[in-house]
Amino acid sequence: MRRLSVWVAILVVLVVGRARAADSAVVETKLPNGLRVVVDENHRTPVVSVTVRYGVGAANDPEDRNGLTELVLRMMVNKTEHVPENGFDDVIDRAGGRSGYDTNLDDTELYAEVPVSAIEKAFWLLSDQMGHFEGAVDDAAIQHGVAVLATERGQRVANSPMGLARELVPAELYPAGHPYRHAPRAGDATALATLKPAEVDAFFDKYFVPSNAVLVVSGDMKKDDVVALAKKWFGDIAPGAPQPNAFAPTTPLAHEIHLDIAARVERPVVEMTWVAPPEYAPGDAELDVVANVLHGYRIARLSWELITKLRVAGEIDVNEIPHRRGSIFRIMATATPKHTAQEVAAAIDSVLKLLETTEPPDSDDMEGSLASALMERTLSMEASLYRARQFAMWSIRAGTADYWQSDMHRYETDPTRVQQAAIRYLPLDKRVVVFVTPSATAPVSGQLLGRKVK
Amino acid sequence: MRRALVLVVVAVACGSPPKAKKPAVPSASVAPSASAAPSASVALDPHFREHEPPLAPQAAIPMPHLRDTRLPNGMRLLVASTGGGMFAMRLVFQGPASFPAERPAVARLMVKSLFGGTPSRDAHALRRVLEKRFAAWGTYTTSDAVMIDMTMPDDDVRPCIDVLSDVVQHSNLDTLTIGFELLQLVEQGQTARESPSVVGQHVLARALFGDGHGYARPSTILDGSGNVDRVEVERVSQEILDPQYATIVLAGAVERSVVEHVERSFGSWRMTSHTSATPVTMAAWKAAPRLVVVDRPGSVQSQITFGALAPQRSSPDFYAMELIDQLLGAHRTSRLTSAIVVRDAWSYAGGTHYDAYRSGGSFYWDSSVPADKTAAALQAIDKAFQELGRTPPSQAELDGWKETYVRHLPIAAETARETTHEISVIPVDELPADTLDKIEPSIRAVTPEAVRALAAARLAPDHTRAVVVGDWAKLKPALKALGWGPIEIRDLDGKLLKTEK
Repeated sequence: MRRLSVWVAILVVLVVGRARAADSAVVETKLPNGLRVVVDENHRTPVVSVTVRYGVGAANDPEDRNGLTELVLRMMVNKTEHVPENGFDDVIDRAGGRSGYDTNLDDTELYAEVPVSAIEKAFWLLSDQMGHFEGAVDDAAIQHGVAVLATERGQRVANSPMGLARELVPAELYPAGHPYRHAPRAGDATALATLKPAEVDAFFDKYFVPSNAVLVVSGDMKKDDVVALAKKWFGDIAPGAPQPNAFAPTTPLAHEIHLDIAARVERPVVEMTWVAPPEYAPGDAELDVVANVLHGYRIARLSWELITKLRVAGEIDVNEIPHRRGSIFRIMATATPKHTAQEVAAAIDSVLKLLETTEPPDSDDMEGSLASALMERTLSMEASLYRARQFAMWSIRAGTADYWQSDMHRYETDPTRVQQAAIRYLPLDKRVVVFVTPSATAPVSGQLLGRKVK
Repeated sequence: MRRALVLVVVAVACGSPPKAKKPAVPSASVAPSASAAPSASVALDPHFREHEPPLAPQAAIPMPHLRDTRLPNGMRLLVASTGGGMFAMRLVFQGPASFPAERPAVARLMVKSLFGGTPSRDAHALRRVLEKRFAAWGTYTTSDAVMIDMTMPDDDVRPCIDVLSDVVQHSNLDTLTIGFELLQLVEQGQTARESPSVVGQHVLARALFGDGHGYARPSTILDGSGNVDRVEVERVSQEILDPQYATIVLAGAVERSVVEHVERSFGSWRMTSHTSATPVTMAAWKAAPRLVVVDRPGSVQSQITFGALAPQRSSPDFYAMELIDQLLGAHRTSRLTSAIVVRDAWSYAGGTHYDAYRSGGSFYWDSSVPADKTAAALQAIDKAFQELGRTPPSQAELDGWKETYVRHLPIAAETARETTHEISVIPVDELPADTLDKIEPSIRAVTPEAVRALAAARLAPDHTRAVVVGDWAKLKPALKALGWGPIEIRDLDGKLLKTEK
């Protein structure tokens, strides 16, 4: 078995050491209603970040209500029982802070970073969203939210040259019944236009509850003060029923599927996707390393072969996109003039074949890719908002906020395991490959020309 | 069901917010700040949730204290010891706008190629030094500056300082590295044309500053085929990477010995440039058709980029312009954003931007809107611009945005890396060393009338231009009906195709 180089071992030890030091400052407790409260004291600057993350995402949307989670999020931000319209942003703006919200396939988050003098405003807003949302739900609010989503979808999908490809791939990648299969179509106004307040309330009551959420405070606060604030603002909210982590099994594709799309792209594009293990499952970290072995730095394998040596591609993007019910591994590249997407695909395949057969990662690959995978995320932990969001994500997805060390330990891998992950999860005959050809006459978002199962 | 639906019905019927379903759990009021030492405990108001909590007392806004020195070779050091366990440095040079004979994208190519190796260390060895210290690095090019950033834990920063010193003084700028970076730059420039937002901003810059002006030349797109040879890159490096035009900004945990190490590492650097940086000329407003359309057939949405020339960073009007930005569109609660984005839902991510440069600036609204709302959105933006030029904001509205601006200052410089970004405006925009200390008093000194007067001068109809990236055939009737005069039709690069009467 190929061994880790001494340097890689040192790197992981150093990262884990930093993680351990940071973790020691994180305190996790639980209110009687089930709300997890995480405090991360850091008194370097008079700033504090507060986030509430819920274990609900687009995967929880009923199949005939794509975008319901995002709609609820938009409505929560817009108005709640005690907070007037646009109040979430207004209050945080006036306090000199910054607010935000985000939802993905698995979970949903609302957050604010404020001067410490405004901490209680953040608690007021975030607790009213959790405990006093339904008083603001009516037909007009729903229709307004639907209009916002339709506009967003118009920009992100209908007006984007890769819009169609983004919508078609998940339906090919995941089997019937898998919750990710329909999720990317979120924002489709036709799916939400007939919603009534009772349905919104029922969905909210099921998922946006203390027992399915975590509150994280990071920054210039003392733990006891945060817990007291949490009790004051969140303590009276009924717990709701905990949601089981009912993850659908990840089924690998049985075939290779080709989609040919004509779109208003400037250059031919090839995009390959595979279903990868769920986040934090065995193989997840190894595939993250594979992504960096391929394109994490200048002399990474795809970068070297496609850009420097063959000059067939000008832009490459390789990433493992982690999800709780099955991640996605994706390689995207644009062809240079006089080259086709098929030529680029062939060049990518030759690099993958070598990686999976005769040329497993060497110590240079491992060092460069581990550094790429770990460094930036370690440095980002200096910012309170990043820390708060990271601890919240670990709490929801990994079951504990105290997960930094464990997360880093996952990267104590070796070249053999990395190669095995590539062999197992990135087979060349079981994936979705999209070829996008430039066309001045195609619809802006693209037009499907053909589909082949190989 | 967790909360009774009847409660919602009652709320709607009565038009007043319902009370919390359950009484709040009594608890002592808490001290919300470890550093701001807020209020003592008071009894809990049973209706506490019905009102926005007040702000706790806030300590004075902390700004980093700067030490400003120069090395004998002319290189400037700006040091802010802000503590923490991180160390950040930013090396700042004159930007491509100061070298009008050169192509700006070559400056970007040059700085991206620096880490390809030096006579003493190849790219791999350089990278390994940095990775062993957890150092992240990046290069950035704007019109006014070329910058190299490094951030790392403060454990062992000296080898990283040596790497930075080595690459700016001795980079090989080898053809392999240049070829790798060049191919990506050219292709990224090409695919950027797929983004209506990028196209809109580029075309507006050309429309406002004029073709060929230093602030209208993109640093991301190489003109023509992208033919660049090593000789040109080398020449640009000798012009730009010059200690007399360089400033290094250090922030975070900066020990005296680290500063001394910087002084030693960069002290032997000798001037290489034979070309003096040229001050960028201020753009003068030129009368031109107000409306520019970049035809993108089939677009279901239009990208609107609508703005005007604005004061440079060193102008006394800078702070009034900053407040105009706050008032009109910097936040979701600003006037235009709350109308177009929040109330009308015509856009989900629109807003205004104020780009203040060393010798000029631009202020503009930028958003995508459904094609059938294009004309209405243009009218709304124009109306808001004109309204502010006619009527000063109320003192209360202006004071609110001043508070927002000032209170945000610690957040903008929370990390060591952010602190170097904040400080680097001093060399980039040739500002006094006490600039950061002047921000709060300068903002507070802006009057409503100053805001009105600046808006009247800058945002009047005869001083603004609007770029619409959208389907011209679909938009033509509504845009002509605006009665804004001739309409220029340009291509994705901003080249004039025709003018419609």
